[in-house]
Amino acid sequence: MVRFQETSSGEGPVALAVSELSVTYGDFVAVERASFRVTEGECVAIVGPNGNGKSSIAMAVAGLANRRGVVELFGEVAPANDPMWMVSRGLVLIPERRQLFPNLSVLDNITLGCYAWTRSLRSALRSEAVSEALEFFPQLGPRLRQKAGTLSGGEQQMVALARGMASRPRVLVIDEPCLGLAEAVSRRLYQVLAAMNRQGRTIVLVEENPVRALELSHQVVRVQNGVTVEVSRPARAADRSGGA
Amino acid sequence: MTSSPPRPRRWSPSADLLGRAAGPTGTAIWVTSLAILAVVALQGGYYGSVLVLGIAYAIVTVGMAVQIGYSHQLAFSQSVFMGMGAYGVAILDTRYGWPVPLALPVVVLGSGLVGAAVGSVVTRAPGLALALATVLFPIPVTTYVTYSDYLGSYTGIGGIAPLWAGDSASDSLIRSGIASALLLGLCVFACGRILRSGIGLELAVSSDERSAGALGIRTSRRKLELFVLGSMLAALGGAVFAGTQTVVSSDIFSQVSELTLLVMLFVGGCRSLVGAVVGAIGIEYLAGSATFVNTHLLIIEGVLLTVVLLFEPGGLAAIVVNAVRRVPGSVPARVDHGPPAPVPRAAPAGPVRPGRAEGIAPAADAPALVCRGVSKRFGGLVAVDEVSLEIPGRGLYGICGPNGAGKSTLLELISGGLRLDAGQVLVEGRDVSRWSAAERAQHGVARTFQTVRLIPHLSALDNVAIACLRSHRTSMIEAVVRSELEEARERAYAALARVGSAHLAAVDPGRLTLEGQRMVEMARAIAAGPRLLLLDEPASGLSGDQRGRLRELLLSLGAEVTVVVVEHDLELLATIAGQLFVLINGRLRFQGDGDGFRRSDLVRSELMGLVEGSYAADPSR
Amino acid sequence: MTEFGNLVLSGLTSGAIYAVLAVCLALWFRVANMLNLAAGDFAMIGALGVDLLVRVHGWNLGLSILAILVVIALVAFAYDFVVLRIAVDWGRAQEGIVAIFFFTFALSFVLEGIAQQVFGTVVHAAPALWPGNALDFHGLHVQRAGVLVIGFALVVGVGLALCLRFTLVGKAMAACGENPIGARIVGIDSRRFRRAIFVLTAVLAGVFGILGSPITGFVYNSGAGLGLSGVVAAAFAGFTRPGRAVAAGLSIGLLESFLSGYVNTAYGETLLYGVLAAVMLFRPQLMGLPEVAR
Repeated sequence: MVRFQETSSGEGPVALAVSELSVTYGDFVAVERASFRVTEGECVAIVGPNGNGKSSIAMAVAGLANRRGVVELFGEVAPANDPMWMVSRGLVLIPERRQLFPNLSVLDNITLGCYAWTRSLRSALRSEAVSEALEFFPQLGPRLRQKAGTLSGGEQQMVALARGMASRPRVLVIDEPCLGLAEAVSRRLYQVLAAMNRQGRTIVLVEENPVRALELSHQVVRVQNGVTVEVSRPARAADRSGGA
Repeated sequence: MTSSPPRPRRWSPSADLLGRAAGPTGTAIWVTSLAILAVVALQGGYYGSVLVLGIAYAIVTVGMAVQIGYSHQLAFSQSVFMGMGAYGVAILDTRYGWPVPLALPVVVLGSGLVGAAVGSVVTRAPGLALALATVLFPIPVTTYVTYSDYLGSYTGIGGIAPLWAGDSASDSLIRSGIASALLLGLCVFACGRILRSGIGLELAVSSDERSAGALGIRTSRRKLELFVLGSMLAALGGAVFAGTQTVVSSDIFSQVSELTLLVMLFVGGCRSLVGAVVGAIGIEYLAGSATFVNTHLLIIEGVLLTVVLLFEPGGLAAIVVNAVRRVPGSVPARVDHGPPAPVPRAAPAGPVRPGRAEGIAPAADAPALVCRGVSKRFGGLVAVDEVSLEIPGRGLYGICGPNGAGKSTLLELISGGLRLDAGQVLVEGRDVSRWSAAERAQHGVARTFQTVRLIPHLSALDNVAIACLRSHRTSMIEAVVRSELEEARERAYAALARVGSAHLAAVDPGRLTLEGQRMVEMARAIAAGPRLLLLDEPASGLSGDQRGRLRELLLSLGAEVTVVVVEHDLELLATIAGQLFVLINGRLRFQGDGDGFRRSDLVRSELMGLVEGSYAADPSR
Repeated sequence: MTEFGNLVLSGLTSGAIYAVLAVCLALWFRVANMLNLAAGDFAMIGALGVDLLVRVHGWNLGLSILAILVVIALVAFAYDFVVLRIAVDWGRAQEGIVAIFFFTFALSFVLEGIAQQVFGTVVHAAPALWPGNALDFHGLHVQRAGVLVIGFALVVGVGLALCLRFTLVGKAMAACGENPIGARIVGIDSRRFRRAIFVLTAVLAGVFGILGSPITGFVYNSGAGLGLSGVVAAAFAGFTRPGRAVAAGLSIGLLESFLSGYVNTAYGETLLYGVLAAVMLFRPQLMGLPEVAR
């Protein structure tokens, strides 16, 4: 049962506004004039079948894919193709396939997330961002010295999330966090995402599985053939079942 | 196409220029007659001698096109073998009085033997080690030659008789030029035939060790053959060099000459035989023509190489082909490799053909697959821990478990991609534990990979056709005589039709969707008619509809052969697999049918992360 | 004993030459996943350029060194800006081994061609920075330039190794080579790093050429051979570890020195390459090659 609901998060200040976003690769159009806005503290799911441009939206918003159209982050117009600008202003991408540094240690992977705001290893290691990220994933504790490439898929996804957390994100764009992960691990990851969202972080979630995405999201952007076909505000499973 | 959308490609340099206008024979005739015409037209003058020198280099670069451009065997030993050919002819002629036409085949065969000896060592090393080790060859050889009085030290050896002596110096040059043009044509013909046989497909895959093994291709043999081929052509080029220039010196060994050869190859087009010929003669011409070009040759070569690598890695050959393409109504755009594939209209989309492995009768009633105490360690981590399971015969079997549970490792152990630390794997009653992946593949074990591994530059059809080759036992020499490519393509087409993807036959793998890639890989796995089919996460990344189609396909395959599927999609597995195995931390923790699987507490807690409620019953799935 | 000591010293001297080039190669490979086969040519330009300015044009030595290093930096920057930007950032480079070998190999051709025109084909060397006869301690001889090169190799190698291990910027450099997309995601400007390191290693190679050219003398095509020995030494450091590259370079120098001192003078180099090729072929795991290079 889908009902529209006025959530408090539907009104606050806009964190991310995307309008008329298009992404093309050669003559292949991956995304055509997608538009949506994300309110601060909200969780938005971008759903749709595979190969319909969801990931391209995430990549383009983060500045990693060539784009046309306007992306505004906290009211500022973001320059295209400049991921550094985005990261330094608090929009952090947790990409599909994680994109870790396989031959660096887990700890190095996570501390490199701090590169967004510091050049000092000492302040990175002592920062709250890193310790908080490690608290979220206690499983990583014993593996900090291990090379990231030797971890299992689920643990690698945790490292990717921890690395994103270390960047002091205000908006997290998470692309297919559960791709190739077993059901139990996916559930655990979703619990973490929910916790992050409760702490006030804005989350943009790219997800193939709409059921899973609905557990968490205030707003759903449905993408088909590179076009945003529907933007809706169904009630979250979290709100429905939790009663709060 | 989530992260890497297909990019439109202009010309897939899959094929060589050969494949477009004419077959190997036609091309060889064209090349030979043009070269002879040019030699005759230049009347043995200065430019005639430059042209003949270019032809000598072209013989070397044709071999490099096969070895480096087409098969990615990066060996830098050509200049050494070229020197070997040149000095060999020089010594046999000047010291022992052999006529050059007699010395030439002896020297080439001798170099082939040396190439086989060296190659049997170097081709076993990984690609980069091979490249680095062969880069070192010229240094000691040059040192030795310059110290050796027998080899004429710095000055080299002069006064070699021409390849085909005439009345005057210029007459000799023309005749020798004609002879070298004929030899060049012969090389182009032979290499063209090899590339256009089934072996051409095997060569394209030989640099990808894992795929090759899964397809039953013994790369070690092909790599050695390649190295010998490259060495012999280099020696032949050197011999022609000696027989036309009549003087050889240690310069020919130097790294500079090796680098020049590479520039010739890449500028002309590293995946095209004609390109290699044009590159060699063209660069030689540049060097021999205007003084300015000659004095600035290094700069010009460097800039040319950069421009080619940047803007058209296919070299001049690709530029020409693309230009021809743009003219409407000219050579049709084809993505496939070599001649047009006959597309059998009424392709037999029948059942998977019986295994092609000959002479191995399966033991009667032996189970399709048995694992006994199979273990694998990576350092301190036990990835697979004494797993024993038995799969009786036809049907679908599922393996699942959390990430890092050892599922893929187990699949690798069964397919031969990894060596067992302990235990036994029996396929149809035969202990295959010590067999290589290629041997197991030939015994009827086929597999797909978790991340699709298709060969770029080859059409989908040819990617499948690789699995249909019977040529694994034939040698390159036989490939010159006969080709089984057409037959393999027909079988490949049937396999594609079987998985419902016949329409993808001509498409370049880079342009396929993920589903398309998985289907092509599936076709490749069933094309050889396996008796045991191992699928690693076939549904990963597929959407709901696509999974539905996959489900149908798996069910129909399961009716014909033994299919083992590793998958995360538990619902898919539980509904199709006759029996399921659950691995956790490398150990087999559950086996049973779909109902038992759904009811199992272990499965519910460890795999679904559920304590209450049934995930499988979730209506939305 | 004296003979042994002298062999060690001469081995260390030639080893330091390999080591410096190996460090330059390893550092850039670490960041860009490409081999800089032109590193030796930058050394050659440094040596012959300073020689040209001082000997022919009568410039002051310090000024010449500064001018040449600036020229090297500009050339490296321009190459990166024009060629590597198109090759890597625009995605034109072919993946894998071809890119690893051929891009800077073409640069090496161009640099040698230019050097041939500018510097001629005669062997020269930059003026010695520490002039005087070879140092002599109780029969042990070592060239002053050799001392400078060994010191330079140690400082650069150890310094870079420490930087990579103990600074966030160093780790960011490693990240660029490990996964350029991942690096951009966490806000590391991998393109700027690539450019900076290319320029830095070119300048380091230039400094080395100026320091070390009095030992052997350089000619326009010395760079290829130097670069190759650098590649070999760097290969034994897995191409990615500057610290190990220094160790590998020095060990190869010592090996060469012992082979020609105790086994055969004329074929010392030949034996050396034979041994190195054998190790590469039969024990490739000793090189610890990174995944991309396999």
